[in-house]
Amino acid sequence: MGENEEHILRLVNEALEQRPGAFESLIHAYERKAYLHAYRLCGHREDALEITQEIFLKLYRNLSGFRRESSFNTWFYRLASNVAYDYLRKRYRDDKNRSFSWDDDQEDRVELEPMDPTPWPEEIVEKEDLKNLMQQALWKLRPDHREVLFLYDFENRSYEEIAELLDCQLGTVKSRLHRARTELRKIILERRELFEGYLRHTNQKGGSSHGL
Amino acid sequence: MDCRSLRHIQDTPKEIKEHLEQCPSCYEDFQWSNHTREAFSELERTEIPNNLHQTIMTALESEMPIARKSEVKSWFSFLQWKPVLSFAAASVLIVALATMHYSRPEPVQTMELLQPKEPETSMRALTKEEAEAVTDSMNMMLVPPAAVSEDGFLEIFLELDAEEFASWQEFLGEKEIPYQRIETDDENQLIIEGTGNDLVELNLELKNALKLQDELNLPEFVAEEDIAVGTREEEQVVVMKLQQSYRVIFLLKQK
Repeated sequence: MGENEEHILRLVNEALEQRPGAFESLIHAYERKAYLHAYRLCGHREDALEITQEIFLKLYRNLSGFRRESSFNTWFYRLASNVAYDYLRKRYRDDKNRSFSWDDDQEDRVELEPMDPTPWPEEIVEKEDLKNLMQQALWKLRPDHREVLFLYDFENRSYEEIAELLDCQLGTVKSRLHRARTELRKIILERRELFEGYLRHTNQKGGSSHGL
Repeated sequence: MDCRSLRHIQDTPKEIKEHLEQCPSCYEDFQWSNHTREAFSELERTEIPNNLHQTIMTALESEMPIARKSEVKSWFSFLQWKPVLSFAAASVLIVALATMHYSRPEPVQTMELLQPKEPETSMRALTKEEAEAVTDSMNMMLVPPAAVSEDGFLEIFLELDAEEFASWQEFLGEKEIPYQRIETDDENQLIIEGTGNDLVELNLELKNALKLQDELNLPEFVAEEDIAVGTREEEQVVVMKLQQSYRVIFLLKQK
């Protein structure tokens, strides 16, 4: 157990004992992480702030539910995700123009309409480079697809670690990751013409005929 | 080399590099991963709202199922209501709390406390500059000695002029904080009672109140950890104090 984890567990114990300041110290330790997690999933600053509040309210109410079967980080991640997805589900439910399913088995049977915080801005696409387009494309992904890509590609986590964080089977992680990538590529390919230069580069380097 | 063994490659080892060069599929994945990672790294630089912590704390306040919370909250509302007095009142309460620990059960003159001296415990004493800043800004309207009463209360005396006294009385009435009024020819007092825990909570709240320091041009001299957090040894002391009852006596200054 790392020093940080020990410190966090001590704070958790103290918070459970209602020691003054202990819960606030936990908030200090996790608020930034929670906000970024929420923002990554929902793509709206104000919503992220609201979700973050909900996360800590839920943490306050459910801290005694932490059974130490996993690390506190993992437990907190799941709790934060649950709050964020509940929030997003409600948003989707309230918006009749959207449909959404979190069930991977049914993924192919529902219309996938990702949360789209910003319309696809033509002028940006025209002016900006691939990096910016990738960012835009990430926002057009479903939140759970964005999440799994983040964990795998950005945080360099293994399938096993991701399965633990998401509390799902290894196979689910793999299939979700595959779908996320496929979806991301599909979005980018919609703007294929913008990336002819990049395509040429890829084909030359890799000798691939199926670059982007 | 097996395609499945490839992941993100920062410092590409030779054999992986060779594999990438001859496996278009892996190369493509590799490129996608790189671009995805870059895009996320931008996203992670998202600005964190300045009010994030305060927003969370505000949301939590309504959740705290502690009976005494309402009382402390009311106190704090008052503190916010009147910044200069708030700083003064909160400060002296904290000073008084420290005083009690240092010198119980002997009553202590606060002016002595405000003089620089060797700390008797790891709790920080005020520096001369800090003491002067407090004295100047508050015009030293409050000089609270503290003592332990016969019935076991830690008593804090706040001597107020007529205007301040009336403010407090109005405030206590408005917030429905139970208080006792003693009015004789010689003295005029308002008395409220609570636990030592409330004072510690007040100290935590004080952190927020201290945000006023910019306006008041005061140094931050009472840190949260001075009382609420700290070494194990200190915490034991705090626990003892938390269980203690206190009594705050607002005295109308006699002309």
